[in-house]
Amino acid sequence: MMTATLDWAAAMAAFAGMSGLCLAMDKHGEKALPRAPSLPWQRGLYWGGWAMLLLSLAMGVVQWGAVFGPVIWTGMLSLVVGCLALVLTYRVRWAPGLGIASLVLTLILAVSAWCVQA
Amino acid sequence: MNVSLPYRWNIFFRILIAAGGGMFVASFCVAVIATLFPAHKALATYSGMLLSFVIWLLMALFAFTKLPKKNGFRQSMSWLHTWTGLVVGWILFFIFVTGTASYANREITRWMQPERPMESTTARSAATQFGHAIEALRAHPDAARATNWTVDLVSNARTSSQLTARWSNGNAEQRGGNSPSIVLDVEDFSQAAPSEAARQTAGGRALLRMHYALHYMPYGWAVRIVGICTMLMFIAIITGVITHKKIFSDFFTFRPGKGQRSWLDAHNLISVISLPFYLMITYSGLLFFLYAYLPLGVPFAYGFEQEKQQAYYAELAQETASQRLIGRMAERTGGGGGGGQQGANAQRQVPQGMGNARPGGGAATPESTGPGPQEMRAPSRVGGARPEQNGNSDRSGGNSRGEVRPTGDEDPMTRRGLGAQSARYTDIVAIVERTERQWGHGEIRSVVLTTGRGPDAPPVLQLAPAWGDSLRRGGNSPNLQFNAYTGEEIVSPQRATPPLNERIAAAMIGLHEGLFARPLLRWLYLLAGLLGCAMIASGLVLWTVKRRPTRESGGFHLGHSLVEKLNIATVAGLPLGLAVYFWANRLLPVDLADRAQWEIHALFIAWLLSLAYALARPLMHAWREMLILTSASWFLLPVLNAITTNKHLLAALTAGDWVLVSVETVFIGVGLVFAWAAWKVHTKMQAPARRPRRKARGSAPETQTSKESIADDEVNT
Repeated sequence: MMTATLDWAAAMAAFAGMSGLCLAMDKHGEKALPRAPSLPWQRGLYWGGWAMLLLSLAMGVVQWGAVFGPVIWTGMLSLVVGCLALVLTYRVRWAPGLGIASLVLTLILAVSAWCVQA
Repeated sequence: MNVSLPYRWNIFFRILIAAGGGMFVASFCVAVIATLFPAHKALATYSGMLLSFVIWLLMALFAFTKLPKKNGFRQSMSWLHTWTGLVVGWILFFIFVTGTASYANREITRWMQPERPMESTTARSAATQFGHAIEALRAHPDAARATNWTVDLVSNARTSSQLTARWSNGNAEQRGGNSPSIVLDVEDFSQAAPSEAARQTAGGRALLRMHYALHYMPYGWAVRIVGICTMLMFIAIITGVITHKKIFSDFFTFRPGKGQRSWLDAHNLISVISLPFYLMITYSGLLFFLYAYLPLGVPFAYGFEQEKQQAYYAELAQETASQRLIGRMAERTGGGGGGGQQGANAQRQVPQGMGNARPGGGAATPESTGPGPQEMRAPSRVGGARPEQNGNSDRSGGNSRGEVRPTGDEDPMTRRGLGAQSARYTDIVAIVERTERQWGHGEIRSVVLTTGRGPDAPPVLQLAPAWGDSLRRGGNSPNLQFNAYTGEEIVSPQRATPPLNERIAAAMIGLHEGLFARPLLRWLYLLAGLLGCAMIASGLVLWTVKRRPTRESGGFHLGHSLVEKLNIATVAGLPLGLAVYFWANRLLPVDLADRAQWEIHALFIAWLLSLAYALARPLMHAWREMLILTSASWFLLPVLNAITTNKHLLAALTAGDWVLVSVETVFIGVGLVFAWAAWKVHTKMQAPARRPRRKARGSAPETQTSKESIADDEVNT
């Protein structure tokens, strides 16, 4: 059980992280959010995004090991970014919501993975 | 597109500098690095060789800085990106399509041999399976006299479909894929009736071979052509990154329905999201034939005489403690290695290996020269028979030479047979049970029992894991070995950790092949490969879209038109050829002579016909019709399969055979992609009048900004 949940947690964290990074950009943030985010918000999204990406990588390493973790994570990242690009192209207004949803899901999945393991 | 003569000479000399000068400088650097470290000359030379492609790349970039008529570095790089990409684009597309398919080579082979049984998963433990298999071997009179027993378990390993007990006497013929075997039902352990012989097929292995050795062409030539294409792709990737100012924000940017702008967006997006994969695959692709691609490197460092170069290889083998030197093409070795053989010859070997439905047998890891996790290897270290895989022949020529082939097989004393010895065995089933507890359920791929070398030497029990634990090719921890009489573990001498450069090179090659990839990673590999195909295709199309002759410029340009036609023939035609390859597998008579070859012929005939079609039809019509045809031929593959075999999608689903289900799902998926593309072309053709009107009506500032932003990205001619 634990295996499947942490997989998904890593993917969700990567999605949340990438959402943060793209919403922090003027180009995408303006379109996706109701109002263009202020500078502090942009900074927060940017660094939060990076933190989530790091967290995702860490979960990948825990899940798949130090050897295969980064490899799988890199592959997963292109899938995640591809999905996000499609969202931004065709459903740009969904981006913030999906970002938050993935953030919440990351937490739930990570906690449940933790509980199952413990 | 009037190009002056001086300009042509200018470009010609730059190409000369980039190619010849680049090779010379790179080789010279190898020699310099080698002389800097006289104590470890071979290792230093090796490092230099690994670096040489980067140096060569830098030389090429240097040769093309400040092109005439270009403003500055970035525009020159953009020019280089455009033209390197275009020149080799079609071959690269072929390499990428066949290479991507080879990530599923064994799965494809399995689909192409519908006679093979459904793959089963089982809750039966390895120990139970092994116990029954050993009983069957013991009871069989021929098997009892054999010196090697191999039990392939139903496990988590790739395409481990059946519980198979094989035996051989270690002579070369039997060590091939054709050793006699018993297949056991994994639920009730009854001996299955000998299944109908699987049909001859070129399988996934032919695709794998084509992606580096092409076809209809001498091996040495083909490999070098692929090498040149790979180097140009390396240049194209790096210049693409340099050209690209806003690489990060383009991570997420796609603006559909804007013609050229959209093509550029798509090309950027696809290229950027899988960039690490492309870099890895390109650079590691160069390492496979390192010494053929940089022929002057070792001679510059060691001298041009053959003996001196041999001295380098010997020294390197000693320093890296490995006989399997990376990047050495076994071109001139006859005999065992298939490397030097011409395409047709090597291809003919294919069906033999695959003829028997041995899991991971003949179809096993042709690229892996080493004891990959997929391949069972009898303990060559201890002596005894080593199952040679036919599939190994491609690149292993140079490698198998170095290994000391044990001569124990020929010793009459060892011919007593495992059956006679079995009375003295310890509880070997318990060893398997213990190991499975340690490794996890389904993680033992196979178990091999081999007679000892001397008259009193104990037989050796060897257990191979289902999956490797290292990125490096051959870098896995060795299989577990036990003394079959006492049950003691035979601890093989600790292999010294290879030097860093060797580890990096081996990891690059391991990453290229992806043999370690379990299903999740294998899907990601497949995705990355498909994105690579899409990158090349979108780049090729972008080239034409940007240069479509307008009415003002005369409306027709031969070169441009040729590129358009070749694009249709390749981007739509090659996938059609691949589908036809699968069609041929089902439709050609099973007893056709040279059947495997005809499957391959079918691929190329279809490809050639699509070129003819593309040349004959008007541009957009050709696109639409070819795309429809390609889409249909992929879509209908599962239907064809259902008509011609009993292993249709529903049957596979019910049986829980996920490999067959996956293959057919991918067929449908590819069909969907081409159907979508065909639809796009169709809608574009239906509304030709609307575009100029919208342009005229569209607000002026908008068109201006889009033009500006295109110029801004500096992807121009």
